[in-house]
Amino acid sequence: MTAISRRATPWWRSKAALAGYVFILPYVIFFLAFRIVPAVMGTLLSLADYSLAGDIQFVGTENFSRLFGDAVFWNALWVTAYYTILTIPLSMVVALGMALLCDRTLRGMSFYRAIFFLPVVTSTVMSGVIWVWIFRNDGPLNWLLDSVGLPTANWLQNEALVMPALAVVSAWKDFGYNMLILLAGMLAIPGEYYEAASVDGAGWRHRFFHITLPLLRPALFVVLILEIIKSFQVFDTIYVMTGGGPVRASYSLTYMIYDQGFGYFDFGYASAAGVILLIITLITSLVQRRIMKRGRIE
Amino acid sequence: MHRVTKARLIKTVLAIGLTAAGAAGAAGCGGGGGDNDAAPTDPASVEGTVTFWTYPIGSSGEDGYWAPIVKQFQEKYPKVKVDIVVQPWTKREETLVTAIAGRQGPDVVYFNPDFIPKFATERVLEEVADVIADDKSDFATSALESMSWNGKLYGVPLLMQVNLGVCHKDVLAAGGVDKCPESWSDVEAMAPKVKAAGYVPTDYTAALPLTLNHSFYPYLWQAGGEVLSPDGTKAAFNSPEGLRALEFVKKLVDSGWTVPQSLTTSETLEQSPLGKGRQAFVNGASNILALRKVIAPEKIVSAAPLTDKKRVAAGSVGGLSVLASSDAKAASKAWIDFLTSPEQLRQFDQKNGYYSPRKSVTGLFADDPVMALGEKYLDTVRTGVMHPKARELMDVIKPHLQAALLGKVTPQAALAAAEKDANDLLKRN
Repeated sequence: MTAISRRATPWWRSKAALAGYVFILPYVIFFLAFRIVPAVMGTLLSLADYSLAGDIQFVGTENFSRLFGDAVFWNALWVTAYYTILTIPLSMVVALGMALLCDRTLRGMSFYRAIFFLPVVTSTVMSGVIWVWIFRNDGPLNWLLDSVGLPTANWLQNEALVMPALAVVSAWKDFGYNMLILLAGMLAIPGEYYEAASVDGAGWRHRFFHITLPLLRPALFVVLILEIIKSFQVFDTIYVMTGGGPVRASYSLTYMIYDQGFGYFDFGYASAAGVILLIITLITSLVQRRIMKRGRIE
Repeated sequence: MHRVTKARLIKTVLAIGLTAAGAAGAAGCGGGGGDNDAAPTDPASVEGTVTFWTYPIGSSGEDGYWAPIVKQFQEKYPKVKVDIVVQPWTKREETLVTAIAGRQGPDVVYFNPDFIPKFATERVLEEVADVIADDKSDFATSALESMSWNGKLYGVPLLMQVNLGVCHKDVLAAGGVDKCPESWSDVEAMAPKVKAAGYVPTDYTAALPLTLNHSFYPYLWQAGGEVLSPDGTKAAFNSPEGLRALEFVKKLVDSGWTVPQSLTTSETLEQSPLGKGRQAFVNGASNILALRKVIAPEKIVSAAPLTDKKRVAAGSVGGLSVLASSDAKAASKAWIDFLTSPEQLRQFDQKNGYYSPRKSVTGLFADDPVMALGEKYLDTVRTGVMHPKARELMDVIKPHLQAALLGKVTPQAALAAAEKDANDLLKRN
């Protein structure tokens, strides 16, 4: 065997790597310009007072001290967490259910899949307006409940009901996208597994819990991470449907950031709240990533 | 190969960020303090490009509206180019703030009184008193005051808006009521009759994103109350007058004289009972011409703004401001001077359904009694609270008022809690 006489070219200097760099360069530039730089600038701004005239005054951790003593911030944080807790199971169960329904060979299935994806591409404002109408006191939901003898409710005016109502809207809006991810995961499961299980007499339930669900875990984690991040950033649905009410029962952290920044021009304070949101999202993602890695190793 | 240590990487990122922030700050310092280019006296010598941000005010957002006006202006100022940008009302403030922060703001912008203290405090507005130095006395004092902050004029009034009471003739008639309400007691007399006839008597919206300038504040002012103390340092609405106002509004809501969902959500005019021709009375219609596009004009009747202890109309003033960052201040002031001249102002206000802030421009709606009534009540208009924290103040008051109207707390408790929050806010620097 011939010994290697010269040092191997480092992987990052090879032609293939160079081509790879060229291909990812546009994305990296945009990612840096629109994600990393704003995040760094926002973090710096959280330590300062900034006026529209352009003056920047360093205030240290004052914005954070103020934030931690602000009841509105804690309420907004709780509302965001509560929304996440309500939305995620609902969203995932609906998406999984729909993916199971779509994972079959039926005539016209592509059409149904496209229909189920429609809420994802519907404008949030438009869907918000429709859902406000659905939840009206004299709207179709209450009419339906009343016609089957169930009690009606003031969905968007009741502090206890407004968040579940918003969670339903979120699940409706997002299930199509999540369904596609899960469906892709299901289609990747080899059919032989199901055939073998069927031969062994496994029923639908056994096949689902012992084959589908375990092998779908990576896809489920992706959906989970995306949903958590999306829930923590919820703004437009709330803006359109409740304006943060009633009595700030749906006033989320992003809504607070929006008000503080664009409403009150308190950019440093808004950035401090943004940094907290960034930290929460980052920690959540890292924890999930670790869990996912561990799952793979096992 | 150089190894990039973590510490070195962090240092580099911070250095880049701080340099960028510093550069942004330095760039901004140049904009705020600005040279005060005086209003021009010789039109031929003025040059530059004026970017004017306006909004769909009445029909002025339609294609082709501004072209003849710009042409007329350029006959007088041949070296000035005017770029008209009709921005949407939606996210109006965010768009402007983002543009200013990015040093991409316009030269001239259409403003309402709420914006003046806030933007003037941020030092992004140019003083414009010199534009009307020759004919200041022709402008209504209330209009000038609402475009001023700390004694300086930051906007030249272009229009005035009076929110008159408006009734739907057929709905009133269905309830056997022959007169559109002009006082709180008139409303209390009208509402049960209209409700009994199966219609919605009136409206009140407590949705959190909406301003209090056109909802609770007018009732407060009509009851004789004030939002803030005269020096603007303390809340003044937790008073017998404030309580009377809130209890009156609560009576409207609790009696079923308004639609319940308007406590939390706002509807488009077309979707509301008013737009569907099912509502008898609206306490303060901001633009009757716009209303006529949804309700048949012959069905609409206007009335004096409501009174309890005082007759007060909600309303607004629209004015034109120059941003301090403008590099064409003289040309910008020339454009404002031209647009607010008696001839242009008459044309603009008449066409778009507003009233004139100039005393010499009257009788805009002489052939239209429903609209003409507004001119009579121009001096009763209150445009809002002139304070840099006016919006924050509303945002701390609104949830408490909403809680009272939803029956979560008593009106007394709501006002007391709102007063505490408002005073905490006002204390904060």
